[in-house]
Amino acid sequence: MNSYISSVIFIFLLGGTVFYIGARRRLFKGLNVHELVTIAVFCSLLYIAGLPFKFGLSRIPFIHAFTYSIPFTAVLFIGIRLVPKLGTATLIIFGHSLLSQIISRGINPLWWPYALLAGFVLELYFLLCRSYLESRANVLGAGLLRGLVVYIYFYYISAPYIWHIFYAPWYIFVQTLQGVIGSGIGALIGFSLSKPIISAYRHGGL
Amino acid sequence: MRYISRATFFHHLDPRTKILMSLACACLIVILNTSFSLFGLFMILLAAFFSVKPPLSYIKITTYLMGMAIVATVISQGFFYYFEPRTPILTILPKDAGLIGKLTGGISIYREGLIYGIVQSMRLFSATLLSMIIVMSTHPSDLILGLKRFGVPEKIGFMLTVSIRFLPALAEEAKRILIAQKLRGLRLKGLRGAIKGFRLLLQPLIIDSLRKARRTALAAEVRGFTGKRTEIKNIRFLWTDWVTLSIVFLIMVLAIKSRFHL
Amino acid sequence: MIIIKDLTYSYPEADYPTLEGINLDIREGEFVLLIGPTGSGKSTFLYCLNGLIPHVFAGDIRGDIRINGISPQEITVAEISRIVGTVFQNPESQIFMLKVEDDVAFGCENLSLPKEEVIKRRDMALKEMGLLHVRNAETFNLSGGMKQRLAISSIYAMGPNIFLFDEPTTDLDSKGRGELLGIIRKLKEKGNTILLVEHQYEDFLPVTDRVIILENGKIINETKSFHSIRTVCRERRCFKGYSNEIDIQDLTFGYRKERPILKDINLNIRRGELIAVCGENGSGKTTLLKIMAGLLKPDKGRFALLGFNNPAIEELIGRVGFLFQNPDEQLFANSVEEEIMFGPLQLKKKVDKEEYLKLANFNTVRKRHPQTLSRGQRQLLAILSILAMEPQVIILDEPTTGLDYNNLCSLFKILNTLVNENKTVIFSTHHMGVKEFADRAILLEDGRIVSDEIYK
Repeated sequence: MNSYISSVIFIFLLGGTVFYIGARRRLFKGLNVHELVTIAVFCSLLYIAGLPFKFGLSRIPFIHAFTYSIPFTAVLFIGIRLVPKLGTATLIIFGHSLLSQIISRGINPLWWPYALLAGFVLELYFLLCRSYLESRANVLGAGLLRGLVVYIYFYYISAPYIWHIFYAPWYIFVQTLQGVIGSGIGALIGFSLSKPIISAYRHGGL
Repeated sequence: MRYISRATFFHHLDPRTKILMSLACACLIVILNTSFSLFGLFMILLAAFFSVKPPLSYIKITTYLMGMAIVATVISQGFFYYFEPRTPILTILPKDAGLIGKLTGGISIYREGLIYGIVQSMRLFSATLLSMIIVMSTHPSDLILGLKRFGVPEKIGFMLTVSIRFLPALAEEAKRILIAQKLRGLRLKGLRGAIKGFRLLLQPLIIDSLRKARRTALAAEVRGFTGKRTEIKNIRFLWTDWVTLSIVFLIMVLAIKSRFHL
Repeated sequence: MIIIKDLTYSYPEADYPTLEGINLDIREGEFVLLIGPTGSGKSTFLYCLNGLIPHVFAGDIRGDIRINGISPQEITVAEISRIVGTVFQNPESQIFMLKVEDDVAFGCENLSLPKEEVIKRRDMALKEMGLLHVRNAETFNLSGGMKQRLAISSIYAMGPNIFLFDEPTTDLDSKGRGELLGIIRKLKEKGNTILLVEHQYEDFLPVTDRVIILENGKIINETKSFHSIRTVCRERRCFKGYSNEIDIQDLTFGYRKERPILKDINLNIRRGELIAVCGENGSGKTTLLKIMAGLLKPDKGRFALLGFNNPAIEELIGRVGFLFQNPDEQLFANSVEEEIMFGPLQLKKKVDKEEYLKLANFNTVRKRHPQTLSRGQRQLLAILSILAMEPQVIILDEPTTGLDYNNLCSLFKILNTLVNENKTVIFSTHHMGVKEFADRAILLEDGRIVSDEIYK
C-alpha cells in the first residue's frame, strides 16, 4: 500500500511542478472551443485505436505491450502536434482514460494517477525541451520516455497494488522494453503522419 | 457495452452515489486480503449485477471477460509467484540452464502460484462486475454530471460529452475507410503490412475527424458556448442514496479494521 | 434590420478577397435566398453576419455591418447568438448532448440564463418544433431530418429573430427536406428574418421574398421574380449493349434476419445503362447498391454480376468500382496523381494517368494534397481514383450530395463518357432533378421496387 500512496504523492508533486513552471512562463493561455473539441476528438480516436485490442483480436499476450503502444502513441502524438500547448497531452490521455471508464470500465479513481502520470511526464518533458514535438529527436525522446514510465509504473505499482498481481523482474523488463520500442515506433509514425495532415489543415480544404 | 434503460435499484441511485461506491469497491478490491472476504465481495457484486437485469448478451460478454481474466491471472501468477514457500510442479527452464536460465532465475510453474492466481482473479471478477453494474445502470451524461458536481470543470465535462458523442460515428467511419481501402485493392501482410494499413487508415480518419471537430466547434460558438453555463439538470440524494452510502461506509470501516488489525 | 455597406473580406493569406463590395439591406421578416456556385463566398457572407468573422476567422474585413443597429464585430459571438441563429449543413456536428431535451437546452444554458428561464424556453421550443414526443430519446438514433430539426430547436430556444441557414438540406432526403421546409415556413410566419443559402432551392421558392445571386464574391443579380436559370446539361448518346450485366432474382436482405431491408427485389441491368436509384432514407437504396457491389450477401434469392454468382468482394475488385457517400473516406494518398494511381498500383495495372487527370481538369492540381481541394473536387477525385482501376461496373452512393450546378455537370459528363465506353453506371440519389440525367430510374420504397421507368 505504501508504494502506491507514495507514488500518488509523487504524481501530485510532479503535477504541481508542471503547473508551477507553466505559470511562471505564462503558458496558461487557456484552450478555445476549437482546441477543446479537437482534444475531445482525439480522446475518441485513442479509444478507437485501442479497439482491436479489446476483444482479443490481437491479444497475443506476450507482445501486447508492443502492438498496443504503436497506435496509441502515434495517435496521441498527432494530437499533441495539432494542439501544441501545455495541458494537451494530459487532457488527451486523462480524457481517454475517463472516457473508457465512463463507457466500459466503470469509474475507478484508483487508475487516475496512472493516466495523470503519463500526461505529467510528457508535459514536463515538453517544458524542459521547450518544444512540442517539433523535431524528430524530440518526438523519439518523448515516445521512449512515455513507454518507459508507463510500463514501469504499471508493472511495479498499478498491477501489484490494485490487482495484487506480481510479475517477475525479467518479465517486467521484457514488457517495458516492448513498450519503449513500440512507443518509439508509434511516435515516429505519428510524427511522419502529422506532417501532411498539418499542412493540409493549414492550406485549406479543412 | 452501453447504458440500458431499466428501473432497478441501481438505476435510481444518484450518479454521485455510484461514483463513491465505485471508489469504495475499488478500494475494497485492493484492501481485502483473505480468500473468504474476496469471495464474499465477489458474491455481493454478482448479486448486484443480476439485480440490474442484464440482457443475455451482456452476461455472455461478462463471462468471457472473467474467463480471460482467470486464465491470464492463473498463468501469470503460476509463473511469477515470488513469495516463499513455493513448490514448482513443472519446470520449464531450470535455474542454471544457460543464459536465460541465469537471467530469469529459472522459469517454473508453482503450485502456490496457481492457487494465488485463482484467489486474486476474484479481484478482477469483482472489478469487471462493478464496471458492468455502473455502466449498465448509469447514463453517461448522468455520470458526467456527477463528476461535475464533484468539481470537474465545465470544459472537461463538455469535452467528455463530445468524445462520447463522436465515438460511434468515428468507429463506423474507420470501418468504412477500411472497406474502401480493400476495394481499392489493398492487401496487407505481416507487421509491415499492418503498420502500412494503420498509416493509410489514420490519415483520412484523422483529417475527416478534424473537419468534424472544426464544424462542431463553429456550431458550439454560434450556440453561445463560452465555458460558463447554467446547469438545469438536478440530481438529488434520496434516502436510498444515504442508506446505501452508509452501508458502504460501514463495510469499508470493517474491512480496514480487519485488514490492518486495528 | 440588416444593413450592409461595402463589405469586403479576405481570408488570411488569400490573394484576393472572398467578398467584394457587398451592399445589401434586408428588412425585418424578409426571406432571402442566396445562391451561387461553390466558392462564391456565400458561407463567408453568413459568417460575417454571425460574428464568426472576425472573432473566429481572422482576416481582413472592411465595410460596415449593422444588425438592428449593432455591429457583429463589436460584440462576442455568444452575444450575437441571441440575435442571429445559424444552422449549418451537417446535422451531426450540431448536436452536442446525448439526449434530445438536453441538446435543446444547451444553447440557453450557454447564455447563462436563469434556470427557470432555460426550462421554460426549452419546453417551448420542444413544443413548437414538434419534438415533444422524442424529448427523452438518444440523439444518436435520430434521422437526419430530425437531427436538423433538433439543431434548429436548440437555436430557436435562444430567441434570435434572424436565422441563417447554410445549405441545410444537403445531407437530407426529400422527406427531411420537406420537414425542414415546414419548419422554415413556420419561422417565417412568426416574423423572423431568414437568409438561406442553398443549391437545391426549388422547394423554397414559394416562400422566398428575394433571390440574391453571388458570384466571385460579388452580388451580380437581385431578382424578385424567379425564372429558370438552369439549362439542362445533357449529351446525346447511343444505347449499346443488350447483355445482362447484373441479374437479381427474388432477393431479400436484412442486416438482421427479422427485419429485411430489401424485399423480393427483381432487377435486370444491361451493360451500358446509366441508372438512378431513388428513394427516401431508409428505403434501402444504399443497401441495394452494396449488394450489387458484392459488399453484402443476400439472405434469399439470386444475385449474379458479370457472370459471377453471389460473388465475394475479392472477385470483384477491379471489376466493380464502388464510391461511398463521403469522398473523404476514400482519399488516402498525398497527392492527386498518387491518389489516382493508388488503385492501379495495388492491382498492378498500367494506366495512363493523364487521361484521368484530364477528365476532371485536374492538370493544375496534380501535385496538391487531396484534402486541400474543394469538396466538389474531392468528390470528383474519389470517382477518378476508382475509374482508374478500369472497372466494368461503377456504383456510386449519393454522388450528387453537396455539388453545385457546375460540379454536377462535370460529374455527369464523366458518367456519360463511361456509358459511351459501354460501362454500366448505377448511382443512388435523392436529388430529384437528377433523374433526367439517367436512362432509367428505379424507385425504392420500404425495400421494394415500386417503379422502374426508362427514359429513352
